[in-house]
Amino acid sequence: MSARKLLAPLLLIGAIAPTSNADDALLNRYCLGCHMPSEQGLSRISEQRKTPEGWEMTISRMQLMHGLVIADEDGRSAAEIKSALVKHLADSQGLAPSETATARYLPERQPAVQEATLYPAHIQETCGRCHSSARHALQRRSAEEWQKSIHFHLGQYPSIEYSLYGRDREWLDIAVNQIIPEIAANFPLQTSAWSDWQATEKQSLSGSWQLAGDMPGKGRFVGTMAVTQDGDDHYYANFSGEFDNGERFTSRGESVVYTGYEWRGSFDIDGVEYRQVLAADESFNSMQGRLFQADHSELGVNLSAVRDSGQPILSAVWPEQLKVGGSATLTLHGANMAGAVALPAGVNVRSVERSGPSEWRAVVDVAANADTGRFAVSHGSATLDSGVALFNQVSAVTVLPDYSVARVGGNGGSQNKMFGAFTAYGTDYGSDGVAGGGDDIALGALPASWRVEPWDETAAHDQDVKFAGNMDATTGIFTPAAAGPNPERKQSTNNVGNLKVVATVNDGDRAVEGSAHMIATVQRWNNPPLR
Amino acid sequence: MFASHYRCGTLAGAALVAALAVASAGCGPSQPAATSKDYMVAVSRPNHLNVIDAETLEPVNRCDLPAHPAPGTIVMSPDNQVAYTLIGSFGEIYGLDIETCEVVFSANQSQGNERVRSIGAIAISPDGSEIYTHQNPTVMNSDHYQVQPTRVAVFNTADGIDAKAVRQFPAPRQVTIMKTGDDGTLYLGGPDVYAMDVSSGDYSTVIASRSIDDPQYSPRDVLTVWPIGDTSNEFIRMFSVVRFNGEPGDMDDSSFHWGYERIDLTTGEPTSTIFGPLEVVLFSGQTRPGRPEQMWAVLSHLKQFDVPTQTETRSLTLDHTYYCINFSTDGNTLYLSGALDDIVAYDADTLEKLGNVTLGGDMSMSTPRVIHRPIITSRL
Repeated sequence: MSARKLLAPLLLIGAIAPTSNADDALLNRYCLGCHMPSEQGLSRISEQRKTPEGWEMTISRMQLMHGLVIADEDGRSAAEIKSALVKHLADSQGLAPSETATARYLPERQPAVQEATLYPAHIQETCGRCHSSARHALQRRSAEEWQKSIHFHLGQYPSIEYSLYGRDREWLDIAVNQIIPEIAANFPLQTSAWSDWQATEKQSLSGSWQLAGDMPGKGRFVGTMAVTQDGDDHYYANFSGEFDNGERFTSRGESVVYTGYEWRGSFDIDGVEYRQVLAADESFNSMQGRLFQADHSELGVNLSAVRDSGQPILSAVWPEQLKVGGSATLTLHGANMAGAVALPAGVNVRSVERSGPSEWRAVVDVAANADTGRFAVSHGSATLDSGVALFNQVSAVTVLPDYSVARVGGNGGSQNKMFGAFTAYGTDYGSDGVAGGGDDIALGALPASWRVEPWDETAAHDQDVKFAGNMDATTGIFTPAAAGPNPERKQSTNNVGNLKVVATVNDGDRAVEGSAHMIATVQRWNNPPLR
Repeated sequence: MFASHYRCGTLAGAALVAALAVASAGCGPSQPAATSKDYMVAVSRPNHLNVIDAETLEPVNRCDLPAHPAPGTIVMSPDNQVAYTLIGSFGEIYGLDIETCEVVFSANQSQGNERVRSIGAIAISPDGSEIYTHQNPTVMNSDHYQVQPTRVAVFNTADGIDAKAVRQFPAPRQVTIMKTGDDGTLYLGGPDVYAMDVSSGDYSTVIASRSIDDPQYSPRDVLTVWPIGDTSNEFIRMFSVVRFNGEPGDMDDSSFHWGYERIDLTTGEPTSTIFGPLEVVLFSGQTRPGRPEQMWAVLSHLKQFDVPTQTETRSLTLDHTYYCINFSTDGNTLYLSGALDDIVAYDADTLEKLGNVTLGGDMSMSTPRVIHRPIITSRL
């Protein structure tokens, strides 16, 4: 199917940038030198669909390895021309929302995803040993095109056949005859999901949005975004928010929407560049994704956004857990809130400190005999299901991510440190006192004090805790040590470490600990948008 | 640097001195000068071919290489005058006179729109007339690549600059190292170890490795890019393997082992055996010259194994990682190299550290050689 045919339905609709002769001319201008035209479009290019980041990486590879030159031209900067190419390709040959759903952790830069549980071993050994398996799961190609991808891989990186999981098998034969047919069947060029999405009427994402989320090191987050559209798929956004550690910010940024739903925002928040990667759902009334630091993508906020159309919205209840027999300041965050506040039975309002459309705050007492469990909270007609937990005790603490990697950096090298970032979650095992007994209560994130310990005897012997970095006792953010060989260490090894991350949660007089495994290791040198 | 006694040639030079029937009582100026000795030849970053006096560990020459130094695999002409280096990002061969630094041979394996890469597989015929490489070719079309079958290419050293392959033979994929036997047979280390007739291109398996199907053992893992073993005149590569001591596949009743696959290049005799327990990762190993029962291997440790009893006999924790092991021609001195920028020497009997030399640039995955040749007057 030609790019023109693919786009034909889109020409009739609103928000998505309609393709144009100018876009096709741009593609021809920069790609025709190597890619042959046919009725299907330009060779190779017309046989693939990808995310915006996928297309950006492809064009970057053409620049780095295949001599593509994009220079300032006709009053546009090289960066603008490249962005226009990415936009055109992502719009006309992108992925439907359902086609990216299982692998959004990749463009969101989620830092601690273990793909071993997501893909079968033979895929992990063939693809996932060098890059994420989501790299191919976020592409669609014709069968012939997938075969060409294998030849590119081995031609460009002959060491594939010689490295671990390559040298012990007939790699090329396996890749060509077993792996690629499977991938081609699972990720074909033509899908009903894509044709349905092309036929879907796209809607503007301008308007007001209510956001909620959480960020390791800072805690829970609520915010608002006032979005105005400025031409096709380009938006400005006034973004403000606060964390439950008290930090607040406001920022004005901008965003481009690709493929009708892929929101890519940029914000300067207190001098730090942030990226926002969100996906609108098919109603265009909610978005999900992540806000992360441009230079430290491991530090970010998992975000949910709901369109504020004037209806009451209850987006968050802080804190998320109330201990029976205790008291607390309870805050309801939202928009357009009005009417009565309905709290779980046994939660009694002692005094209301604030009552406005976006925030309701009160001191509450929780009866000692209140039923425990997770309960809905309502403010007028707005309800947050399971909005708060009533609990007797913190029976266990779970530290997430349970297995993760931090990396040394800095020290004059080209790579930043990669921090470790942790959150402690509590569970009340309920009246039976037994994990998994059917009455467990998930308590959500809890304040904790943090430390690291050696993971095993070797780590203790090698003094990994001393050399590998520092854990902030309050935030749960681990800052790795400086990069490079360390003459003070055995065999001048780098400041790597095999560490146990321990969180201690105080529950009255009791201290409850949970732990996770973190490898502090060396730099990653190749850091494309999709890893 | 070296202790003074080592400068006197009592170690690596001892056999040579004895052979020359020179009294070893003193090492003062009255001692007649040897006419030949051991040298090391090593590629290092950014683009250097280093020639080092192996007895004193003093550099005697440093040549600029005309291409990127990776992988830095060297084969020497039979008279040890020309170092043929596989460099140029795994694609080019340059032969340099190690005394004058003159480039006397070059070949860009890539031709036209076909790009060729060789991992560490370069060898030279016993008479020095032919260079062999194992080639991984890819045809680069305007909008797609096509991986080609792998092959052995033959170059005439007499063709000098910009030489082209004079013969090509189909060869298995995944070949990392090659060496030639004294009879001219080309040995290829790939999925198995193969022997190739370089006239006809006919080849056959001489040591089964991947093709072994023994349920009491796991598949072997072979990692090597270092065609070492010159001073023992051997083709040798190590493998790691799990032995199932109970039911096949039962990891709870298993043991980990190191083994080697070896060709005696003098006789052509193949050997495939376990030589010791696997306790740490090791990268390269060779047998001691004249003492084939001793297997030595290196990475972050230097380890000696007794091959007949399959036991580890000595182990030394090193100050950092070394990829590549070499022996002096008399077998008395060990040289550890590769990875970073220094080469360290150990007495193979006492494990006394004899000294080291710093090259100023990493050797990375290069394969340094120890050679014995007429004295080179230092050019530095």
